[in-house]
Amino acid sequence: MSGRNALTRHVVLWCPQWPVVAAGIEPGTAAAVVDGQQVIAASPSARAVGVRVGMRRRDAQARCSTLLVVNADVSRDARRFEVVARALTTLVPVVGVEEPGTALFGARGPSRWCGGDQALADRVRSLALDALSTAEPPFHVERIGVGLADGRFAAAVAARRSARSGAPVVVPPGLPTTAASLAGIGIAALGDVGGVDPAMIHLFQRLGLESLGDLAGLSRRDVVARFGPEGEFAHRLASGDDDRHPSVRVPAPDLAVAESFESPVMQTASLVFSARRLAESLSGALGMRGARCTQLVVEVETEHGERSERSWSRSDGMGVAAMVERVRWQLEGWVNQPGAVSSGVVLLRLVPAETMPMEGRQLGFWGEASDADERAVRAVARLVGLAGSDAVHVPERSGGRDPVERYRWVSAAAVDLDDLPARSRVLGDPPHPWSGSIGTPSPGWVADEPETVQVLDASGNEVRVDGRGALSAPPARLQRAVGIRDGSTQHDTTQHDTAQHDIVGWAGPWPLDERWWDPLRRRRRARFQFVTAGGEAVLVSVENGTWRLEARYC
Amino acid sequence: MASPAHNTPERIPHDAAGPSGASGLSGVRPAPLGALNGASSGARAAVTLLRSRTRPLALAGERVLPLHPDLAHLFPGGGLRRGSVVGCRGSMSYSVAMALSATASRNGAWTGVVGVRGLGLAAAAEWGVALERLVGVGVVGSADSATGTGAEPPWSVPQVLAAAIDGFDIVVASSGGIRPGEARRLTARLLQRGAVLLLVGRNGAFEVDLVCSAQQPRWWGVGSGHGRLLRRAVEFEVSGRRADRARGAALWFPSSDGEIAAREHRSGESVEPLHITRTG
Repeated sequence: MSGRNALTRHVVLWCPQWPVVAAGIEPGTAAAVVDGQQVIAASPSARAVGVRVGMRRRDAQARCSTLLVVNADVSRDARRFEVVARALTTLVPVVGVEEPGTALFGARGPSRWCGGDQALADRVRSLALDALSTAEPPFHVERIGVGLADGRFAAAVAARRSARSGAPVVVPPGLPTTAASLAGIGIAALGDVGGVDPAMIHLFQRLGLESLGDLAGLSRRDVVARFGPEGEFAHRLASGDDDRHPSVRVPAPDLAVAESFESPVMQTASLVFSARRLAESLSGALGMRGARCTQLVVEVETEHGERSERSWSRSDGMGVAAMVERVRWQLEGWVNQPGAVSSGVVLLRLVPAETMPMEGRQLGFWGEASDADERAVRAVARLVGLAGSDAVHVPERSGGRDPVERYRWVSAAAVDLDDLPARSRVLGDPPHPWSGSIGTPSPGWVADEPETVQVLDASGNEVRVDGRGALSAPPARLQRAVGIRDGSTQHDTTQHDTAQHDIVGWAGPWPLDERWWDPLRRRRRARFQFVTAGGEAVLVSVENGTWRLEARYC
Repeated sequence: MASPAHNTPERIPHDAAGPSGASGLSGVRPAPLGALNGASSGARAAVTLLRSRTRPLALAGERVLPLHPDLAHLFPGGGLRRGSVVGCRGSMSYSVAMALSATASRNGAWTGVVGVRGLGLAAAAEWGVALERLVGVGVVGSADSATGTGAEPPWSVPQVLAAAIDGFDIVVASSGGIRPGEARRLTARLLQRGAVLLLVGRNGAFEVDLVCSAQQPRWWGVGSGHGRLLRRAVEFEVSGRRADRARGAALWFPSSDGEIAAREHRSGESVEPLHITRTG
């Protein structure tokens, strides 16, 4: 097998500590992104005081008492990374996203177009930096790395070196130069970049193999005899003559599935639903061949010819839910770009680019999916069948200053319910309150469409709020139009139906000036809490002189 | 393997679950204990620990779903009896339903919300409902929310409720659109599946086992133009045909740290909300 064709030259763009960047951490803030109890990324200020990736949350907080801890959220990372991926599409049609923070593509064509590898690497770097600094809101990225080399592994290693030095790293083509560029790298890179089992790397280290060169210096036959196929893969990576797992196959092109829409589709939700159907048929077809998809290309095209094409990788394969999730990330990232999409979507295509043989799945024994969880997940599938995917929802963290915005319902069909531990990590911990948010408790009932009400002072005039949040008079009565009932369910509504409520206590205003950078979506509001004579508390807002009943603490 | 016949190893007490021999993991129980007879108490403790860790979080035979300690003593059996229908009444019915489901939800129970609109997810999280095990059907506004309560959803409510009862431990729903015959069939299904139905609002066609309500809300923390809502004092009451008598408690609902807490009930002195008035 050593005679595999010469490796494709790849460009890899790597943004270190991407989860911190995607979380929108300001420069100078000591912050860490935490998955479960483990730090997965830390800001420069946090690293300066000794917070390290892989550290336990408690240890990190012990090092830095002012550490801002942010929960990990892969979908946020992926959506935000779309800015960078999109900037690179001026060079190549398909940009691959290994994981949010790492983009890669083949270098041959774009290199000729740019006039050489060095020019291409410089161009990738400046495109990415431009995109990051002009994004709205801008990202605060400390440095990025661009590496260009034969094979994905060598390019990714070069990108990491480049992130340290600041300048793009270009490894000249050919096996000897590639091997030489890898020789001095620590052996841990096999795990960080190459996806080799950490236990095996640990074993290599205990055997005294410190660098990739040490491993490449051994005879391949000896390595295979001692470590088997997994060891052979590691040896191939280290010597620079292979860059993908030996069991990876490129499937037949006829497996691609597509759906074209007669009438352009405007809603992300209905596209995601179509994606689910496509993913199910794709997953079924792959399953018949005993394969699972490790790299998926998602293509979306609008009526006006705008295209979004991304390749998504996941080393341990994607199920239906994982594929749908990636389609959703791509769509949300795309439609949220100002000016990216001007019409409805007419084509959605899923192309499996790489597959691996399917292996059995080991079910969790302790503390993982229980019987009740499996029963519930099956029930969700049945409910989707009965009521339709637009009627069945599960909560998702969304962040926002309003109680209604902190979490939102998303269609259950678009969420990977099987991955309960990951969902509980994202949803479980109480969110960090946004500045300007009203503290707990939160209202139990939140209006879908806030109803207009009137707030009167003691003499019966409507209360006005000026630009500085000062009231014309203290509010004394809340008046609701008679006959309109709230959208909630059948309360014993006797007391809510009355037209007037005396206000016995009030607090506020909490002024809110949201999205001031966007003239179309900007909202300027002030919110108040009122307690009425019956002991009921409500959240009302005033916007352009109109009072609305936003939520009820019921 | 040693025969366990000659003596009966001491039974490890099984926590409140009663005869739960029907659970899927029961097969591992007697043999290892017999084999361990005479082994060190450390090994036995290890087995006990192992069993507590391998036990599914919600056994089918478990009779009641756990409740917050300050609510549990109001309920016959000290919790939500599986298979029962509990009505959540009054203007704070949403809070009551969330408070009742929170403890079980945190302990691994799944909660389905059917046809109850506008449920505040942030509030649910603060009450302690595990959002990763919360599923909503018909909870997001659509065309029919504009016309109020009367509109029919485009799917069959009894069918969806039945599927929810099959899949989830707690189902929060409203009684709208259910006829008496359907209500009887759903109640039978509840008993069979061991789920709990929390009805928000009216009873409708259902025969309700218990009625819970929070009354006389008084908010603390808001003055006139300053402060913010902090905590709420209520009188919590549980009554109904399954309760031997109506029981009530004075609670913080929630207290300033977002939990339920028993409230000192001293001759009304602390019941009036504190209105701080600004001087000058």
